[in-house]
Amino acid sequence: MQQQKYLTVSALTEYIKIKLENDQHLKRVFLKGEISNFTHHGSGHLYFSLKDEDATISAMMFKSYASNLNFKPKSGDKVLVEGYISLYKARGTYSISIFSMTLDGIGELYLQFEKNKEMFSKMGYFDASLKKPVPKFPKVIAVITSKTGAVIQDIKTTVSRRYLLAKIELYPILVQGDGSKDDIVKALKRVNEDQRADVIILGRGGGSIEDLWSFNEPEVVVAIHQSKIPVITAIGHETDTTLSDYVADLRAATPTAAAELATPNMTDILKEIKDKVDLAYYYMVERLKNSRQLLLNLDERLQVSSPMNKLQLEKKLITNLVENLHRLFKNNLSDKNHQIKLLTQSLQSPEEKILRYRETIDVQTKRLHQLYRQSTELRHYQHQTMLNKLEGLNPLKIMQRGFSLTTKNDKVITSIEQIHIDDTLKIDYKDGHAKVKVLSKEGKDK
Amino acid sequence: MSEKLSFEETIKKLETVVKALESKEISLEESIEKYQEGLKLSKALYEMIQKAESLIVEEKS
Repeated sequence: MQQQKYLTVSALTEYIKIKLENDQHLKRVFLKGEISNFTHHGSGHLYFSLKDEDATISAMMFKSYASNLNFKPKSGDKVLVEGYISLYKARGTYSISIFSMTLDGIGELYLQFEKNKEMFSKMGYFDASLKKPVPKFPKVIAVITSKTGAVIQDIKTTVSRRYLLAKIELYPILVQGDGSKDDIVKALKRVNEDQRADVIILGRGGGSIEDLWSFNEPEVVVAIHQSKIPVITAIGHETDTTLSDYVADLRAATPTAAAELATPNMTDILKEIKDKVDLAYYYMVERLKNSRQLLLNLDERLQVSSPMNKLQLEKKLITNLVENLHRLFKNNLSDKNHQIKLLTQSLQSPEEKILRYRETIDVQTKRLHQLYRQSTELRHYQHQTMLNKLEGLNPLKIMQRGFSLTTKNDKVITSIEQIHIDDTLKIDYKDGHAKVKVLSKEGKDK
Repeated sequence: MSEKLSFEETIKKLETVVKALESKEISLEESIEKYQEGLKLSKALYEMIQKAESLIVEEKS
């Protein structure tokens, strides 16, 4: 019987479950904590723990709810969840079943920041082509920032150090908290309506991401985007970048840097002016030098082609011509002289000629004599020879040796054929002749 | 001599005169006339340069 007072585990657990799940406070719980032991189950359900410094509670999220999440949960994320407490009998553990979960605080802000950044980026608000040039020499600089604080002071100091010609107009705003966003938007609109400023500096000192949040608000981004006057932002510290910085025409790390971007440095300007003056002087000097050279050249040409030179040339020409004339005349004279000389030379006396001829004649005569003598001697010799020959041929001499000569009518008979019977022939002998009558004739046998 | 002519115009004029003088066709009489004109132009030009130089030297100092 004693056993009667003992409950089964199941019964107890069931009892606890009913107690838990029927508690009005635990049916809808708002809880914040940090995620740990996160697992994304294959089924699509999420299992993890939520904890703070002192306690931990198991948590689970069904797939159908998890699909509505606007971020990817992971261990370490600080989250805000809404759910109910339930008990899992098999393990004897209780847990919170979550149906909605968002990132807590900064995490959620970052998420919004990223979402808006992507949206404006897609809308082209951050395009480099939209960036308006900041005027180099502003007359009025509109500063939109807190009335108190370092920002306006830093900007004033910097501008007065660099460029006293620029006037600063402050458009005071609340830089954080309720109303800050509207303040910024209104101030931007007013500066544009006033149409006095050449450039706007939108500034705020350093702070947490929540402090700077107004500068991430879409309304502020749109107002900067719509400003016709270029906007330079100087919000928070260098590491903080707000959407205002993205949409602004220029972004500066600090208010001082913004003031430097908005103004030229007087020292630089003065140096630039001096450089330009020097350059202008140099160009002027160069130009004058060139002009002078040009003129000198022309002047030289002018002098060269002056009538004086022309006259000189003409004079020289005339002198030359006269000289030529003289020379030609002189040459002509000497030519004639030469001719006469030649002619005179050829006019030598006949005496000489006669003498020469005589000499020639003498020589020729002598030669003639000589030739004649030689010829006579030759003839003489030939004659003698001939005589000697003739002597040998003389018929009388032949006759003396006993031969006779027979003629007929004074014709010498040399052949029997010449004579006929009864012809009268004359026979000559060395000491007379005889006339004979041919009685007979007889030829020799041949 | 027109005082209104610029340096460039005057030097162009001088150039024309010199070219005319350098041409072989020009008569002696004409050349004397041209030469005198050239001398005047050249003098005017030198004066213009002198004046300009003294001006910029003044400005610089």
